[in-house]
Amino acid sequence: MKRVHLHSSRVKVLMLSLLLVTVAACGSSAPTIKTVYTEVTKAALKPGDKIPAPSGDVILTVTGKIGTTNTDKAIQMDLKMIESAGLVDYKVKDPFEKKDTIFRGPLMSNLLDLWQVAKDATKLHIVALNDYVVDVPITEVQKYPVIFALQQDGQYMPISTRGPAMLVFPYNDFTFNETVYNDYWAWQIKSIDIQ
Amino acid sequence: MATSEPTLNAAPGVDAPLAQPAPRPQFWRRLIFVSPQITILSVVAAVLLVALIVLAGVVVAQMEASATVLTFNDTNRVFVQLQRETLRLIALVAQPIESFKAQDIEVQSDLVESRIGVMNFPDAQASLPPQIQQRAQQLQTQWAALKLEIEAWKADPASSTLRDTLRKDLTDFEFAANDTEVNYTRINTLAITDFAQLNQKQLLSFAVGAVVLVLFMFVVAISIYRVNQQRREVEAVRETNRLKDEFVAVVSHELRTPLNAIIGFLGIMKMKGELNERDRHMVERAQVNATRLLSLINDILDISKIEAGKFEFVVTAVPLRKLVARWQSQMDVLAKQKGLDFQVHIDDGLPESIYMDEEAVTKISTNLLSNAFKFTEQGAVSLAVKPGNPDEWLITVTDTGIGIPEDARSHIFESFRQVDGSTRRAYGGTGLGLSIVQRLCRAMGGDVQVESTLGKGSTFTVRFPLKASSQAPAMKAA
Repeated sequence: MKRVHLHSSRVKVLMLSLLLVTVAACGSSAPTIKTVYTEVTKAALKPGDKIPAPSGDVILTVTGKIGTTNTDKAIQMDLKMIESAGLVDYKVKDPFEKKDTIFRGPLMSNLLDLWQVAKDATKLHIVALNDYVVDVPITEVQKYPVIFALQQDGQYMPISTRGPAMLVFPYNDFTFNETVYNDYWAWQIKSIDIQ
Repeated sequence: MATSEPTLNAAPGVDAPLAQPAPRPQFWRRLIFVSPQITILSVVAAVLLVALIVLAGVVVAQMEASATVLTFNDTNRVFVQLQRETLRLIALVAQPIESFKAQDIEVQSDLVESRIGVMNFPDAQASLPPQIQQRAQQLQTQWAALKLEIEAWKADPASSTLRDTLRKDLTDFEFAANDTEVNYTRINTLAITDFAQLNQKQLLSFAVGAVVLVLFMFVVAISIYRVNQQRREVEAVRETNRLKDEFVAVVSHELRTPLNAIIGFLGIMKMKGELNERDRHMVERAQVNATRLLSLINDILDISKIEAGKFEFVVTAVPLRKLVARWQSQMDVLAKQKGLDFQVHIDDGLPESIYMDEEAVTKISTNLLSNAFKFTEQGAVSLAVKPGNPDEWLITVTDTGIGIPEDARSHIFESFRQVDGSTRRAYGGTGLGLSIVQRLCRAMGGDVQVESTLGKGSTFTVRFPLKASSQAPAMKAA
């Protein structure tokens, strides 16, 4: 067997790549905001763009500490506008229906950037169609890849099954205290007031 | 104190070993049957333990039931919200025709439907009691029919018939939802109260049971401890006795050797013929005392051997008449010395030879006869050998001596006991003779009895089991 000198350049390259692979492996064990979901479409509307007026049925009204509007003091969005913020897919075990589901929708963080939410904003005051109200701390949707889900398992969610939109938290990839966070999965979302 | 009492082994010429002491009962028998109190206590304790385990199981089941109770609030909200959305729908339907907006109706009826959907979520379904699940099913069916009605009315909103029917049916539906909610609340309230009561009762009985059980266990433990202690004490006493007997045997042996030397040399001195009258007398006195000392040591040795269960019986077929003749000739001298009449009688009904330990039986009769002669100053001593009840033969020694008072008759057989201190002083003796007689008799399966009249005389009767040579089983090949 040929003797291998420890200081030969071939060995150095091998060792270095081994090190890099190890580091990469360590790094990838913790889920990051980017590794949790699958990108479906790229954002068409980007932060800073002017948000056009709605053409279809308005399903979401946004008010409060926002930097832009498309109607008087509010942003009114229809389905297509929301989707133009860039869609992602996320597979998670639905904590209510108790089964694995793929939710599709834009990332809340993208929507917040689009709405040019003020830096001192602290919470999302969400109101649902049946007057259900919940305040979600803004850090939760900035820290985690929370999805403003519009589709469930390839179908748009009708009102009769939690539609038009529901907040989906990455339960499969991060640990959450379900007693608290289940309340944040607001569904039948009608409006969000940034406070 | 009981010694082991072996029966005579009928194989002649072979050492008859004494029966082994009964083997210690098996562990389980000792544990369970050591005393009836402990058995009863243990059974009661076991029953209590079982009851407690059952109770604990029931408590655990109740606690699981309580988990259902705790999810009540969440699930109940479903019915409350269903009611609320239905009421809103009714309000929309009730609006004047001018305000009719199909989309609003659609949205609101979808909201009602979403509440039915939530009713079917796994968590809700799991926490509903069966009656409520049934009602939920009914609500679903009702709603399916209502949806068709709504579609029909939306197509023809002006129709007051359709609208009124729809309103009425929606109202019924709302009542049904309300009813379900009320029932669910009632069931849950009952469950909570039941649970609380049961819980209290169970905890109390659990606590009481636990305390009682602990007490019983305590008592059982103490009883077992005491019994064990008793047993240990008995063992200790047995061990002490055994050591004592061993000691006596060893020491007696050591005492005999020098004594035999003394007796021997004294005998030689007497025989030599060089002694004058006075010296001769002194040697004789010394001889008598040494001999007496030796016989005392022998008696002590015998007793300790018998008590330790180490006396080896040698059973042979002994010709009876020859044996008795020997005893007679031994005692004749003493009879003549004291001027007493000595009668010997053997019953014809007795066989030629009888199986016995010749040495032991001789010891017995010699002891009895010596006593008879010792305590009789005038009259006669008679020895009779005759058959007794079936399978027995008797030796009776009768004297016309001083007799034995009634209260002394029980303790004359005890070691070192004589009638009272005065007899020892007057008559000498060690007080071991009758003790040896009794122990030997019992060891051979027989016994000794005494009848006596103070001042008139006594009769000692010894009885042995009779094993004549003709009854013997086949001898072992020598």
